[in-house]
Parts: sequence; structure tokens; C-alpha cells
Amino acid sequence: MTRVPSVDWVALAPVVAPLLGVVLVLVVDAVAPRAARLARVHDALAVAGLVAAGAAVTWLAVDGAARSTVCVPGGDGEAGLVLPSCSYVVSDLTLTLQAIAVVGALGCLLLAVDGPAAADRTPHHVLLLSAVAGVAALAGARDLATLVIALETASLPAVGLVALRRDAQGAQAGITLLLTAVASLGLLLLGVALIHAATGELHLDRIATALSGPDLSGAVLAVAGLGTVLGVAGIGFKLSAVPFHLWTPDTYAGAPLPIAAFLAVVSKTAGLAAVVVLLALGLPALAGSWGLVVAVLAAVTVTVGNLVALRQRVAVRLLAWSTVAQAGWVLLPLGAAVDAASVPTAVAASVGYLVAYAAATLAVFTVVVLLARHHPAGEEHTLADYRGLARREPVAAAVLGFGLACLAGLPPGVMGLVAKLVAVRPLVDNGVWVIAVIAAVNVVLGVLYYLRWGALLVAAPGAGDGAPVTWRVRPAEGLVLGGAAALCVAFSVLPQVVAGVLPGVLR
Amino acid sequence: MSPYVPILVLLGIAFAFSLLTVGLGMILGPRRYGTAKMEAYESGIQPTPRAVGGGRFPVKYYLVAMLFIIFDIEGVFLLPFAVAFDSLGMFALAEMVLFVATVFVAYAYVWRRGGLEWE
Repeated sequence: MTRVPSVDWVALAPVVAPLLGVVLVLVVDAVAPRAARLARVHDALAVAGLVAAGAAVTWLAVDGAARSTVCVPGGDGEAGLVLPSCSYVVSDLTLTLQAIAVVGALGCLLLAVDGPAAADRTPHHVLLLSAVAGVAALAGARDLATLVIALETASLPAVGLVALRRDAQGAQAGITLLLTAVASLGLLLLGVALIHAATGELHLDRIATALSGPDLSGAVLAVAGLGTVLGVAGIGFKLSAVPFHLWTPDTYAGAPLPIAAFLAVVSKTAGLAAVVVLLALGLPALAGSWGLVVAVLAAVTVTVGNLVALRQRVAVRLLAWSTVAQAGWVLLPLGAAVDAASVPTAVAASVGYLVAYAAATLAVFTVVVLLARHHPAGEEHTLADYRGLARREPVAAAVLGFGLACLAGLPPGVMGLVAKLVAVRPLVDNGVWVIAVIAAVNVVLGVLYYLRWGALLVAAPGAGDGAPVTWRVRPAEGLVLGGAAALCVAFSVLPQVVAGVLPGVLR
Repeated sequence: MSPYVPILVLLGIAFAFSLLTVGLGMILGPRRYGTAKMEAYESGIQPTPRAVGGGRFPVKYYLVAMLFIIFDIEGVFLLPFAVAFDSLGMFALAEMVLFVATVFVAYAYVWRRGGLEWE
């Protein structure tokens, strides 16, 4: 009798809900293709898919039961009792990452709904929801195959989203992202294959057990180590960590702005989820080796991202380089891992930083989208166009200023400050002083350009700026602006949320 | 004998064979070039006279190729299911119907949006 694994649909609900949304949107469009009067139905279905996923995440978090599904049974192995292993596990880590992805995607969807998505509702909604389902599956993935498939499901739809602009620049951005995605998939597959070859296991918990044995041969460790490095490189492309970041500025500039926000928030979440799941859950025994690799990668990423961002004049390009630097900050705590015992604190700091980064980035992108829509230069507008924004649009300027303060880690952006402290603390605790000093220098570099942008908001409007256009903020955009600002304020008032994610056992 | 020796031998044979055939072709083969021979193979893109940055090429072939791959993969999943159908029971049948229905929805969407029309 062939065994069919049982499936816990409640545990999988955050993955299934967006996919159900995808199918429904496709059905509606297949029944009545390009029907303009059904536009609101498409939007409602897509929003409902994401809201349902968010509700499922909330319910699972409140319920708190340790769920796992699609398991293989344990039994008596060659080396004693083997525990059952599952391909999908619901844990604090899973739910936190899913929550970031779903909330971020909802924001990007609402920003795009009457903007770049208006001409291509079905493809836009379908691709966006597919990517969210991929991130949700990735957060819960606990075996190598699920990890790779989920990461690709999360990243390939982004290529389609970027190319939705349908002009030369959009196509260029799409091709750049596609080639990057394919190259990084190759590296990741090679790395994963080597890890599998070294351990003979597919499930991450079994790989962790296999690699923590007392009598491992040097060859096994060498193969597993090489696999780890290749895997980190493959995922580094998705996170846009230096030196795998070259696609980032062109793709952000070539994509519609809400899609760039999606890349910055949701795709980054996917990248971090993949790194954390692979390294912290599958390879904690090798933390001494990958900790150093990640530390160097993070330090270089933060420094290069900040240095290039300093010289940017176009707002979206500055944001692109700023997200490169912030990706380094997200990785930084993982670089502090020196042994298996220090991994959980490092992961908690990383995910905490991601929470703060996602909220602040969404707030900043929302204002940039609004300004681009009301500016003759559109998405190519420069920082100088923000001069005197506080007088014309005080609310939007306040949100932008607060978001920038959070990204810089300056008061009143307490959320960002706490996130940076939490990110640096594991480095100090584990004595990785060189990296900690580099991080401290980068705080100053970041403050420089975020503050310069923030200062422009309150500067007196320059001469020859033409008549200012009054902004007409659509309800959906207003909702995102208010929501993102509320999240930033809430996390700044209660920074223990950022500092205290993932209190329990990492699994 | 190391298990890698046969692989190395195979690698050597592969290299020798390709060198042999290409070499023989160069020495013995007649050289006659025509328009057909200079064209890109199958679905390949003509790189000249208009190259990247202004050149346009039809994506029809790619569209069909991608649709083909989707149903190819569906077949890959259907075959093992069909082989083990007896022992899997109702659950697997329901799963498979769900899977095929999902692919069908995507297919219906492509069809209704004109993805299957060649011109």
C-alpha cells in the first residue's frame, strides 16, 4: 500500500488562500475576458485572497498549536530511532514571515490597483498573489525541495510583474530580473544538491542531525560547506546582497513603482525566509563556517549600498540602493552566529529588523508613488522635487519623514533605532568586533542620505518650481499611507514588538 | 576501481567522438552554403540586420513552447499517479482532480484571452 501523506489544510491556509484568489480571478477573466465592468470584482477577489491569508495567519498565531503537515514517518533507522519529519511546519518564524509578506503585498496591491495594474488587472493580481503564496510556502518549508520550489514560486512572478510596464525600459528590467533569477536558481540548485549529497537527507531537521554527528569525515563537511556557500550565493541574488546586487537599480527604476515596492518588501522577505530556513534550520551545525561568510557578505552589502546611495539623485534609484544597504542590515545579525547555540538569537534579530524595514519601506514607497503620480517627471523625479513638500502636503511629508527616520534609525523613528540595536547586539555579544564597527560606521552613512532627503521636505520651496499641483489621493492609496504610517508609529511606540519577535524555540 | 573511472572514460569517449566527427566533416565534407543553411536554427532569432535595442521578433513560438511545457509537466505528474492509482485511494483521486482543474482554469484563461491564436 502506497502511503499518502495526510494534509492539514488549516496549517496550509496562508498558502492556499492566495492561490484560491488566483484561481477565482482567472475563472472570472476566462468567463468574461477583458470586461471593464468586472474590474472591481477582480480587485475584490485579489484583496479577499490576501485578507483571507492574513486572517489565517492571525488565527494560527492566536491558536498557537504546534502544527505541521506533509510528514514522512519516523522509525528505526540504522543509527537508532528516527523522528518523523515534516515538509511544512507552522511556527513563530513561519507566521511572522507570512505576516510581513501578506501585509506588504496587500499594501503594494492597493497602491497598484488604479495605477500600473489598471490596464492589466488579471495578470497583475494573479502574478502578485502567486508570489505571495510562494513566500508563504517558503516560510513554512522544511525540506530542500519545497524550499527551492517555493522560492522560485515567490520570485518568478515578480519578473512578469516588472515587465507589465510594456515598454523598452520595462522589458529591459524584466529580462535583467529573469536572467538573475535563472542564474541564482542554478547556484541554489547546485548548493542544495551538494547538501543533499553530503547528508543523504531532504528534510532540514534530518540534515541538521546528520551534520551534528560526532564522527563526520572531512569530505562530508567539505561538500556540505561548498553546498552552503553556493546556496547562500543563490539566495544572495534574491536578497540583492553585494556582489549579487547588480540587477537591483535598473530593475527598480524600470519597474512600475508599486512593483518596485513589492520587490523591496515581499521579495526581500522571500530572500530572508530562504536564508533563515536553509541556514538556521538545516545547517545550524555549520554556523561557525556560514556565520563568517554571511558576516562578510552583510558588511560589504551595507557599505556598498550606503556609499552608492549617497550619490543618487533620482528618488527611486536612491531607494533601490537603500534597499541593498538594508538587505545587508537584515543579514548582519546572522553573521554573528558562531555556533548552533547562537543561531536562534541571530535569527530573531534578523526577522525583527525585517519587520521594521518592511513597515518603513512601505511608508516611504507610498509617498514616492504619490509624488510620481503628480509630477511631470513621473517615476524619474529627483530628490530636489521633494523641496518644500511639508508646506504643500503636510500629511504625506510627515509620513515620508517618519519613514526615513525609521530607515535611518534616528529618533523619532524609534522602531528603526531599536531594530539596528537588536541587529548589532549579537555581533557584540559574540565578539565579532570588526563587523560591529563596520555596522556602526554605516549607521552614520545611512543617516547622511536619509537626513538629506528629510531636510529637503521642510526646506523653503526654491524659485522656478512652477505652480504646485494639488494631490488627489485615491482611497486605496490613502489606506496604504495611513496603514503603513500607523504600523511605523505603533512599532515605534512599542519597540518591544520588533525586539521580541520569535521568543520561542526556533523550528 | 574508483567509481569515477567509468565516468572519466565516458567523458573521454564523448570528447573523442565529437572531435572525430567534427574533424572528419571539416576534412571530407563539401562546403556549399545557401540561404537555408545560414538561417537561425528552428525558432532562433535572426540577429541581423536589426539587432538588440530596436529589433523586434515574434514571440508566438515561445508562447506555444511554454504552453507545451505546462502540459508536459502535467503529464509528468499524471503518469506516476496513474501507475499507483489502485493503491492510492480516493484521496489521491480528489487531489488529482483538483490539480487538473487548476491547470484547466489557467488553460481556459489563456484560451479566452487569445493565447492560442497563432496570428
